[in-house]
Amino acid sequence: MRNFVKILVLSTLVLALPTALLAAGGGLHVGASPQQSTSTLTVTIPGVVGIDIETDVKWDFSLYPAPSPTSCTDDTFPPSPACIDIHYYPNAESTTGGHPGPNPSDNAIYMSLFCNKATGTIDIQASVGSWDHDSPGFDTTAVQIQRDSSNNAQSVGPTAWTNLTSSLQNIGAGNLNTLGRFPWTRADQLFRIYLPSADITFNEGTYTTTATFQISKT
Amino acid sequence: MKRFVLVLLILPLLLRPLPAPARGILASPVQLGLVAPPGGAASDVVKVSSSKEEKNRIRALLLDFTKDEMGRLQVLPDGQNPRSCKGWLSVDQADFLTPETGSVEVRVTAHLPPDARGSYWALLALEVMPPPRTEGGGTGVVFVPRVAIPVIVTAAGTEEPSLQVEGFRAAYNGAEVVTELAVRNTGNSALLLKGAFTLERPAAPGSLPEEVASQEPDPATSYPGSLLRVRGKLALPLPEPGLTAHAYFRYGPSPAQAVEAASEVEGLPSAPPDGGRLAPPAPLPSAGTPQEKTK
Repeated sequence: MRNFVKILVLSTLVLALPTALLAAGGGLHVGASPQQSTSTLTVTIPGVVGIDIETDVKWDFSLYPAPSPTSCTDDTFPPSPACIDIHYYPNAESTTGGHPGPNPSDNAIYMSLFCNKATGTIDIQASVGSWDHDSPGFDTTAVQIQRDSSNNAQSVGPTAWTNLTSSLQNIGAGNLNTLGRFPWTRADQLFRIYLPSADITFNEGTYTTTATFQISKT
Repeated sequence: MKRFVLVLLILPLLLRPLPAPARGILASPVQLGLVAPPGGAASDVVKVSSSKEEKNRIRALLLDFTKDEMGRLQVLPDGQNPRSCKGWLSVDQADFLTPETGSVEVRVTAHLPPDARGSYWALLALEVMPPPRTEGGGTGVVFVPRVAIPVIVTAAGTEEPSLQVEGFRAAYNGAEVVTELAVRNTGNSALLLKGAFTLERPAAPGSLPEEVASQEPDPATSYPGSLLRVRGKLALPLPEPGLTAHAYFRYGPSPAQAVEAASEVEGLPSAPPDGGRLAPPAPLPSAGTPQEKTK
């Protein structure tokens, strides 16, 4: 009798398993072989947006050669008397080592973008601040950008040289909705200073400004 | 002793780490929606991390913004968004370091005023601060990567969703039909617009129109008072006369929360006249005209 009661109690315990153990998955299946049950697999991927810049750009005017007095050539300092405008391309960029992918082109910054949300609108915008003190003789809006044809598969950025402004302006183009799903998308930008007037008065010194690149996905 | 002191002074300059140009940030989610009753509060978290194994100093800013007709974001100066919730928002961390691995959680909280009605919005901008300026070496630009996350705050129970179609166009460009639906949010709450564009063949009497092509554009957010243009492209390798374009979009669960529009498709050939010809038949030579014989 004791054994019978023991078996009865044990059987009851076995049958009274917490329902939580049986609630998940396809349930308890018993019978002849083979038997199958199912398990639900859930994958949650959050919407993520990101931007990475690996380069700072610098113009060291002491490194530019002296100009010809009779003709205007870019990247000469001081500008030739023949110049009505002049371009200065960066000559002292610094890019972080160990980054994935090729180095940026001359005069370009390494920029990469990521957004894994397939729907909505991606906006890529840029702006430039003020000089950190005084002025080198020209405004920060003399800084121009243009998309680099290298390392920019989605053609992000303006097609023509475009002055940065103090307020954020759209620079995005190309098929942005395929941007950086996996892996990140390179979106390198070229930089230069464009001085359109001979009335510029260069001020000796070292000056720095910040350029903001903003990505948003809505 | 003098030499020893000199070395001690120089050493800190040499050992000072040069600031690395690399700066990057990742944030999730890409948009925040906070819902609370008028006079109440709601909060949610944005996870922020470095884009690579390095620490970054992050600054969190709250800004005003709007969206243009194509849904592109535009940062606004303070006070220019009449439905701004910037003043209601706070973040628990405005200046912090992201670790080399892992993320930081920034909690965004909205405290709604008692008279809030519908939806309001502002922008959470998370930017990577550049290192302090170093001396020497010319004039330069340092970069501030920034992620902008729209925050939409809605006063629960006060929503009056309403959307009106202001135009619908469809045009064939030789390979596809490009459609554009213009809708204006005439209500007081932000709406998520989802739907489809279709091309339909006219129906024979007694039967339903036949769908030739369809496309579901990305869902788009419509803000109160704003006009939004939703565009689509439907592949049409062979032009077919008589097709009409349709737009079917929903902005809520109830049957009334939907808009529809239809349009002829510009650029498609006209429907052929009876007989099936696309052009009048070529004139026959008149009697007596010698006909040229081919050799």
